[in-house]
Amino acid sequence: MSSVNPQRYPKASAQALKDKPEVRNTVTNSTDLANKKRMAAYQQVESDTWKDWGRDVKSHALTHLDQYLEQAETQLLANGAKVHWAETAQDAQKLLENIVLDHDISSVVKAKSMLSEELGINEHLEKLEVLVRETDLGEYIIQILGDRPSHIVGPAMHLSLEDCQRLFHEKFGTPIDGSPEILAAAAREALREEFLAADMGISGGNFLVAETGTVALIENEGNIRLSTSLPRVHVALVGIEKIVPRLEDVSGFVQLTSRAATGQPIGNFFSLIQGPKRDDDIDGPEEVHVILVDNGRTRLLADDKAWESLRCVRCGACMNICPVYRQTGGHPYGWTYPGPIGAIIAPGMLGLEEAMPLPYASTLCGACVDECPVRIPITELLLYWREKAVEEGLTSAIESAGLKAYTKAAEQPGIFRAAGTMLRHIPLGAGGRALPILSGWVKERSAPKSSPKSFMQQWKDGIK
Amino acid sequence: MTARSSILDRIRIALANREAVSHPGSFEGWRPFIHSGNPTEQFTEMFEKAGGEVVSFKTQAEASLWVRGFVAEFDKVSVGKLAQGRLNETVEPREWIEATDPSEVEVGVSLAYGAVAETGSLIMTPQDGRRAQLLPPVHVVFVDQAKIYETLCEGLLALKNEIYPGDGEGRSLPSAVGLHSGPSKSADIGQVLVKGVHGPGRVVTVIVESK
Repeated sequence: MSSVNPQRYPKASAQALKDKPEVRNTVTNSTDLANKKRMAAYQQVESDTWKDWGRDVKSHALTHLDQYLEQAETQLLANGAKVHWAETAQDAQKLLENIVLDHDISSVVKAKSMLSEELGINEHLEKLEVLVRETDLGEYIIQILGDRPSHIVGPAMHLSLEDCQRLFHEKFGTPIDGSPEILAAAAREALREEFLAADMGISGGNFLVAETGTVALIENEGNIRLSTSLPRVHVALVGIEKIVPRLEDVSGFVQLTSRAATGQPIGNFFSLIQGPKRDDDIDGPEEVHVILVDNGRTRLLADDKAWESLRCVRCGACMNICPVYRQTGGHPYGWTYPGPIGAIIAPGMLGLEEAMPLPYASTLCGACVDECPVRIPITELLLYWREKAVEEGLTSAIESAGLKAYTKAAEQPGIFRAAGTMLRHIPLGAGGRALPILSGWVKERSAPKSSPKSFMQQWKDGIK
Repeated sequence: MTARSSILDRIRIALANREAVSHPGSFEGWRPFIHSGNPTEQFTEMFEKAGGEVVSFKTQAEASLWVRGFVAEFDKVSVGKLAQGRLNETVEPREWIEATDPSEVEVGVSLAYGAVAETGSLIMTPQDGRRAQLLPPVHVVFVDQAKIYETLCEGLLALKNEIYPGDGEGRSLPSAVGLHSGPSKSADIGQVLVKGVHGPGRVVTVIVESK
């Protein structure tokens, strides 16, 4: 299982800022670009209507999840695919191991999948002495470096062009100032051979269409299409929350997700996979396996408030806009899913104690709420988990007194804004330390001067 | 107890007291954005914006002649099964079409099932051959103008309602459908856009106005 250690967040983030200050610039530049593209793409359509629709279809699917999972299974079987169910990461590893052994698999090409990261699939395959190759360019770079993805859409977002140039120079002998085209061509050539030789392709799944038994995958490079077309066996790891009811729904979701993630009308390649090669097909895998994974998702579904976060389509918009995420990138969060979405699904999937202090890794500015394509109430859920943490005695006594007052105020936006306005006029030095919500925070930092403008105002105006 | 029944049981317990949310209806119930032009114009605009190329011909014979000239500049060519039919029907002599392995050629020729105006996408099916659609660095794709659908939803539903040999009870999609909406690209290296990372870096759509 991939390492899970959110507890280190305070130290890891401080350390990242100190040891790798350049990451802040790299991530800020990348997320700025992603934000501009997404906002422009939202503006081209009636994005409010799209988001409402996305929210409702996902909530509908989640509140009928058992029926739709059974329907998807029936349809996949009718399509000739094989279906497996995994309660835990260990289950998923074991199921995959059985397929590997049954088919005498010695090499695997992988399409980018955050679920496979969550489940520790690569480590497990390596233990089985299977050659595992990540084929998404960003994931490939990460794999060569022995690093971890720092963003769910752009896994190598924390690396600059210079970082990549150095790496490719050492690995492939490309010029130290080689252009991205030269580096990409070197990777294409190296990976092409691995694609053609691989016995198995492993992918995730952006959506699972119940009606047609379709695993749908969005990408730009073509590596997912290759991974799911060339090897003789294809295994798709799909979270149970990825269900959408009908084919019509996926035509909406691919557009909504693409616009939210990269600002494109649609990813350049969109795969709809129903099952293995049929008699009249020229090529394609002989077997398609779909592993439906729980691994904490039903636990999150059982939470009467936080279940809504299962609507997430993993577009990364919340981390791109998050002023906290962009300071450090995703590594310090210590889990597969960083940023605001990670902070609200971790307590439900891993357990609150295990996820602490992620719900605190936010300023509660709410910028992410406006960007979420499926309208997950992220700020509300951050506060919800913080309240729970206080109730369960997972946070210090001083902080809890402050938080209760803060939560009360924040639940009533009028009071929240009025209090914010008032506080901005109180000097934060010695006096600021008397404020209960801030005292715990100020203890480890020097208190800054209050800004004349509220953070929400500045963020909307476009501060860096 | 199997993993399957444990998971389904936990879902049912979680949902026991949850208010069910109803489905809001089709994405088609409201148009995302209305394009002023016709579907072919919109497809062309979207496809070109994504970095693809579009050429258009009155007849299949004209289109095939053009493709023949285009691929003659490359050493080896691979032609999809359905695309071969199109070329053979209309172009003489036929010797130049060689069934070369797509992994060894510089250009692949395919026939799309159809296209989508809204997203600028070509709908590719496995009956034509997936390797020829993905491995060559240059991809040339025939599409009939009559099958350029306005929305993605219409395009996918048309494909779903198509009956293929070997379809079982009820109509279903082909084993794997690929929507290609421009050349392969990546911005994973220093956020700089690079074309042709794994799939084709150049995609040319050849619209056939009347078959």
